[in-house]
Amino acid sequence: MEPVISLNNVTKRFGQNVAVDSVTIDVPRGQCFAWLGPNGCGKTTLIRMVLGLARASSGSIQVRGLSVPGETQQALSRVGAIVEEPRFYPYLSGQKNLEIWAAHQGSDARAQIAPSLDRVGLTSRKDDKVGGYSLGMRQRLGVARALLNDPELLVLDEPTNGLDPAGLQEFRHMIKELVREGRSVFISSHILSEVELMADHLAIIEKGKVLTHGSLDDLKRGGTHAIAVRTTDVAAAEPLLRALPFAEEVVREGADTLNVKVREIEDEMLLQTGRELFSAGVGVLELRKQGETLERRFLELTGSAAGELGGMGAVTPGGPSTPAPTTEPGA
Amino acid sequence: MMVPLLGAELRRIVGRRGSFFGSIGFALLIVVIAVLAANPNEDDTAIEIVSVAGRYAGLLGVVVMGALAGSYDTANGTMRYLVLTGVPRWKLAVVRLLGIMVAVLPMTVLILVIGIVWGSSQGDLEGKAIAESAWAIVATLWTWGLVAASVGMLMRSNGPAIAVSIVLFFGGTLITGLVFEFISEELSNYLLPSVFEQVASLESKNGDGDFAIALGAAFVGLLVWLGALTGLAIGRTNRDEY
Repeated sequence: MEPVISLNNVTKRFGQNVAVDSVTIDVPRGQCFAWLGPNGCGKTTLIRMVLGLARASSGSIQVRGLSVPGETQQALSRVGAIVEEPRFYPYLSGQKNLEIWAAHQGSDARAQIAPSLDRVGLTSRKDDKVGGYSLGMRQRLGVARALLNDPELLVLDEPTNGLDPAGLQEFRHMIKELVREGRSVFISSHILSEVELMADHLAIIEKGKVLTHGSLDDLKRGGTHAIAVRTTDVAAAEPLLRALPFAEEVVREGADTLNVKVREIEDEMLLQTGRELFSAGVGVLELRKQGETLERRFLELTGSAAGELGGMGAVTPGGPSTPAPTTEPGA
Repeated sequence: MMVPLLGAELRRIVGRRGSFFGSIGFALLIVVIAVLAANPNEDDTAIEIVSVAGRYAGLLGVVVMGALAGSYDTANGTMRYLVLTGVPRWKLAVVRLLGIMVAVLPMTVLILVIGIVWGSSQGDLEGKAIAESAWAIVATLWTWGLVAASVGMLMRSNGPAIAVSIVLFFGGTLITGLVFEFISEELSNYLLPSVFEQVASLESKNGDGDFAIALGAAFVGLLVWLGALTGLAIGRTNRDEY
């Protein structure tokens, strides 16, 4: 099947800075694809290029099989998007805002206003001015706007910013529903746990470069798993663990914990680890499986702590991020 | 396709109630003060007094409305979502310009109504004077509305766009005077303030030195100025990244 987005060697430079560096990737249709990376790593820049809002310095982009920027108008005719932050006219109601966008998209879009508001749960607040909406409500109104043209592809940049836990759950549910309807969803995020719960495929990006991409399961499988051993005597335990036949590497993690890295984790390995330590008289406080989380894979790939990636921003292992406060220009 | 877009643009302009109704209110206030304070005579009829008061008071308001119409979407971050609708960027820019031209019409009509009512009560009202006043008001508001909207699109920021548009009007008049005095009288006739005044007043070339070029040349000059400004604004809208 033809990819819904196809990027070929796409680069974006701002002077000497390379914001997006030779990205080549195909985004499969009918799935949720996540673009994961820390703040400032080029996620939004790439999205802006995909949507024809910014020009690539080099490389080619196709959206729905159409060239961007050459055939942008046609390519975007069934694409909905939120870029950075959903922006509206704060002095107009939610309903009137959507009417303005529908006026740019034709009568079919106008017919979608009520269902879209209903879908994001804003029907009861549609007549309130957007200036009085919370960030979470504006995010939901942004999704409603993105749905007006019955999109084949939804491009959502950090879409869960400002959502409370209940809102997050509803949002995940909505994304899954949209994918079930056959739409393709492309989201960017710096929140690992969020991506893990929503995405089928993902690409991990750092400093504008794609480190890896593929299906979520493949990426997790591709990582090294580990058995975490908390012990009373790390010095005595370390050589015993190194001698285990399945141990690929033993790494000290904290004052009393050792990680035994293995290729594929099995229950028998835990039993054997425990037996070896008990028989040698080394006290075991805790034995647990580690691995198959996206966070671990991410840290392996980037080779740095989650909060220190490139010194540019943080990848948050879990929980909603809080965006910086913004100001609305006055009317 | 242009009609729904124009409707949406008008909703945006009117929705900024402060600038829209404030501009109309300010213009009407100045007109009412003129009606109360001025004494019409043969040289300055009632409708002419209202026309002059209305067009210069309205100009200040329309500069604010126009600058906001041009800059608001970029400053507010909504421009990228308008671009994402797939409507060509040049069309989005043209609709803004058309929007400001339509949005000044209620102000024009209200000023004119006051002039007609006052002129009727003074018994010095003629059809030609009404038509000339209507043209003078609408030409003033269109010209400076388009200038301000273009500056707004070029500046992309509300406050500076308003400031620069106002400076263009007052500074433009000053510069025209300086060019007339110290550089070239002929050149000063083709500067925006000169051609705008001549077109708004529909005066032909005359001997008393007020207007030294033909009315047709003034029209062409005004169109060139407006074409250049709006062309630059549309060009920037087309080229910019959002």
